Amino acid sequence: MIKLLIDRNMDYGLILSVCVLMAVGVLMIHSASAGDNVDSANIWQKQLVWSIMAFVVMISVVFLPFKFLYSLSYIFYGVCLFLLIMTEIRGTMGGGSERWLNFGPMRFQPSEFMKIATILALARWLSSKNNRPTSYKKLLVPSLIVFLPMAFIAKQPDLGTSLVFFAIIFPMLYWAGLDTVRLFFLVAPILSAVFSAPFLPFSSWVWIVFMFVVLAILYYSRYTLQGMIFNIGANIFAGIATPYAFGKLKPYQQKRITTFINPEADPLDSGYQIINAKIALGSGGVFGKGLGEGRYTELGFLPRSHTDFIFSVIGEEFGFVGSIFVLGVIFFLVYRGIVIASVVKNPFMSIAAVGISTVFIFHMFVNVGMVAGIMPVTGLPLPFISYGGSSCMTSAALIGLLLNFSINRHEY
Amino acid sequence: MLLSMNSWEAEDRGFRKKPWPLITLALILVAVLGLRLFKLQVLSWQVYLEESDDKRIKREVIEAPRGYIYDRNNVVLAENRMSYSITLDPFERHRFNETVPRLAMFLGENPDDFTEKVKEITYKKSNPQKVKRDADFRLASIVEEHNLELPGVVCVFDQRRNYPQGPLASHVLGYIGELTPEEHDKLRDKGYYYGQGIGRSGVERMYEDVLKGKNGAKFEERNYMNRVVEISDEVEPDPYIPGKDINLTLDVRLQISAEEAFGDSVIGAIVALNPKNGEILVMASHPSYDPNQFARVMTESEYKKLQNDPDKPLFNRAIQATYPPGSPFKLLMALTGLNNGFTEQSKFSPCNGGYYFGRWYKCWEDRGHGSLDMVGAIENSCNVYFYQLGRKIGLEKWNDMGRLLGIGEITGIDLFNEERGILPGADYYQKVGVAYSPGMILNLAIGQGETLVTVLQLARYTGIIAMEGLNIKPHLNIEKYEEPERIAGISSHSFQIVKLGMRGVINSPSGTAKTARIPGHIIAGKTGTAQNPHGADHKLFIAFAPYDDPGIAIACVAENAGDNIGSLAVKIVKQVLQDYFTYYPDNTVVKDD
Repeated sequence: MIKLLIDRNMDYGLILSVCVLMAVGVLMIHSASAGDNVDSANIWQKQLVWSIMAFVVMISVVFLPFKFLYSLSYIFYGVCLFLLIMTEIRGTMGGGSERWLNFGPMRFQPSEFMKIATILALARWLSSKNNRPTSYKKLLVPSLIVFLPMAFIAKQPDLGTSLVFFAIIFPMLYWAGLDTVRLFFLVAPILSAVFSAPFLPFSSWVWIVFMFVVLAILYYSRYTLQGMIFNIGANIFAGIATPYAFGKLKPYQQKRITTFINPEADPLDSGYQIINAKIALGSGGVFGKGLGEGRYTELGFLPRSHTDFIFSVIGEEFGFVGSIFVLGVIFFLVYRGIVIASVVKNPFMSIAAVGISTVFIFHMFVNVGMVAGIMPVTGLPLPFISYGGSSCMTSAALIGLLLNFSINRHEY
Repeated sequence: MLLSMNSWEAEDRGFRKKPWPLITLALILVAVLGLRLFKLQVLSWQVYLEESDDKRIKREVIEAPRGYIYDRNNVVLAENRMSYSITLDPFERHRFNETVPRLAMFLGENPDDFTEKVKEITYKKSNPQKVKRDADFRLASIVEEHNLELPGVVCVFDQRRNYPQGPLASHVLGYIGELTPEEHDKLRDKGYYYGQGIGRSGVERMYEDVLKGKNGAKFEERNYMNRVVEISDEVEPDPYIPGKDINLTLDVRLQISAEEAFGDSVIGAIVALNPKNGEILVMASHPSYDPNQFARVMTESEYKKLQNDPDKPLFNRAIQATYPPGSPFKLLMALTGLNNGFTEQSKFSPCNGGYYFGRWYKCWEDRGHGSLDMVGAIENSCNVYFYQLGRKIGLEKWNDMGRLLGIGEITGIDLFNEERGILPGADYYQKVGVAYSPGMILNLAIGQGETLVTVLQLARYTGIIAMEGLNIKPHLNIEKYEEPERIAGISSHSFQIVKLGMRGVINSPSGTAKTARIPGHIIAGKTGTAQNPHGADHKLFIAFAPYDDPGIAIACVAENAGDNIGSLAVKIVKQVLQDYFTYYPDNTVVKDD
């Protein structure tokens, strides 16, 4: 066991980064809850306990034989999906949305475990030579693996987490061998829909230019006529159907979408969050107000500052320098993940490592983007920093997998 | 299955990608965030810092103490006193169920009503709110003693306006009222806070800017619920500038004697001034009110009662009410005649009880006064004499003289809502659409008809005659003195003859106000009756004294006192004069400087 820990392939940089992020998290939660009343003043202690537990989980994962992970991945996926459906049913019967499942004194979110399970299951499927995504037909099973949990989580409703599943599939397919042109045509209809959406700030010229790009790439892709027509059709359909569908919505539904995209339009609810998050973030300036000096957050102007909006506390107390530092540390995790993906010999580990890296970069971009006002308000936590046990454990387990792969890089 | 993986690397080159495209993609995403953070935290840093400070640090006004008001001898007329307010902290809302009824018990209020009131006051509030204003010391100490049983209840000090003389000179002093929300919107820039007292009438209103000083401010850090966390040390507090004190020209001793002389039932007004410099020594209007009522928390019904009282206690009869001047206006006609050469002192005219001009105009003495000269006509207040004089002089010259003596014009006293009265002239009749006929001057000559004057105008008119044309500016703030000029175009000789007549009114055997005599002093005056179409006639009296060196000029109106044959107004004036002679034995009311 000790031998493993001092293995020369042990990625100490990753471990150090995780420790740094956890420390930042505990400190920031302490700052965020300092002005609160007694019942939430000690949540930083809870987070400290969770961080330590998560660290233990991370190290434990390192010792799991990777072959064991490989063989159990489908079963793990099945169990998690079952738990997810159970939560869903219980929530429906209870009459509200339910993300938690109780196990005695422990409460956890199956959607968090589902992230790990889906990455492992998808990696296992794609690692098999026969399942290489060399044609559109071979995308069917990977899509199913991802869309099943995604649909259930979206129904909870937890749009942010469900989008994580949507995000991980593309880099993993790419890594497993999907050629760039196919990948492009997989993403193109989504981009077409985005560019044509009436509630987003894109001029219609963007969509038209984009269509020419699609045509040009199609021309050089040497697809069959059938394939070309299908691809063009899909893109044009997405571009026309999106505004049409939006126009068919009732005004209140439209408003819900526009405030989701642009929360500042509704200064009372989610807009209140965003406005205050930007004030806290921006008021930190270059070097911040100093640890424990983030008065704006401490005085409670920013609800949920210890969970999804923790980054604004970092911004207020440590300024631009601190914010960039935290982004840098998370980027380092992602970078190490991709490097590990490219050095390990086993395709299962390789593809899984890409999936894990994607989870971190996606969480970071959506969370920090939300606090900075360029992404809609979704409930995605910032890994290791946001208050919460489930998120911290899951992130730690994912990093544990990366460490595991790093040590076993020579295994097949 | 595991075994099948062994050879994948060699067989499938398409599988293993180079890491750089993924790393580049991740870098782009980090760069997007970095640029956004650069914009927020480096480029627009100050905007957000200001916004955070604006939301966090709130300005709390510290009220500047209001200036005191004194009389000319530094007797306090308006001051500030400490008062206690009992406040309730909404932060203890969860315990209100117990606290509020208990507090109601200590305060002697109905628990249900009080609970309702507290609910309204503390609704959506996050800082302590006053639930009982102006509590007395006893209540405040009871509450302080029981503070363990009353979580969230705190006594605070307030400043309240206090008028130690009660209703004395209330119309001059005026009163304070709290700012309404609309007024606050307008006056916010001048530093008023919501609910601050502001002068509503009288000197309190006129000298609001002097008395109020400048409010200061402290800066408090507040949390998202707007609850004060601490006094911020990041922003320097604004010190307040206390309001300036004001000395009035009033003499409280004379004011008291005048108001006492009015008694409880008489309605009317009196103004006494120094004819040498225009200082108002007495200004009283009856009935009056207690301005302390406004300084306390006044209920709607109390205010309504004052407003709807048929005797209008809030109405300052000295400057806001206008009366027909009656016989004192005969002096105006006499002055016009003498000054313009229509008559002389020694020119006699007959009176046989009436005068025929289209119809009979009667003298008040049915038997007639016989043959009278100017002085005799004034002494006897003979109507017929002035009918004849008026006929001779005509409207225009009379009107010119009236204007010189300030009739029909505001005096410019430092109070709001002064009435200008009416001095009818050709333009007036044209305006109201009445054809002027020569007979009208007969009524005007004896002070009846359309003419309307305020008591203040009458007092000033008396003073001008007493000082033979010194054009004084009546004022209440002792600092508002203006050097008076002589009115051009009226000879002293004319004034002297009129004054002789006024002296006779009191001192000659045939005078109409012999009761006003005070041994050892020579007083000059003129009685009058103002016809009142709505009831009994009003009685008027004007006087000045001492005759040789006038130090005080007085005008008094007693409403509906017709049956008393002038004696009521005369009695009141006499009382004031008597006290004047007592307090100013050397007639030193004028300071020589």
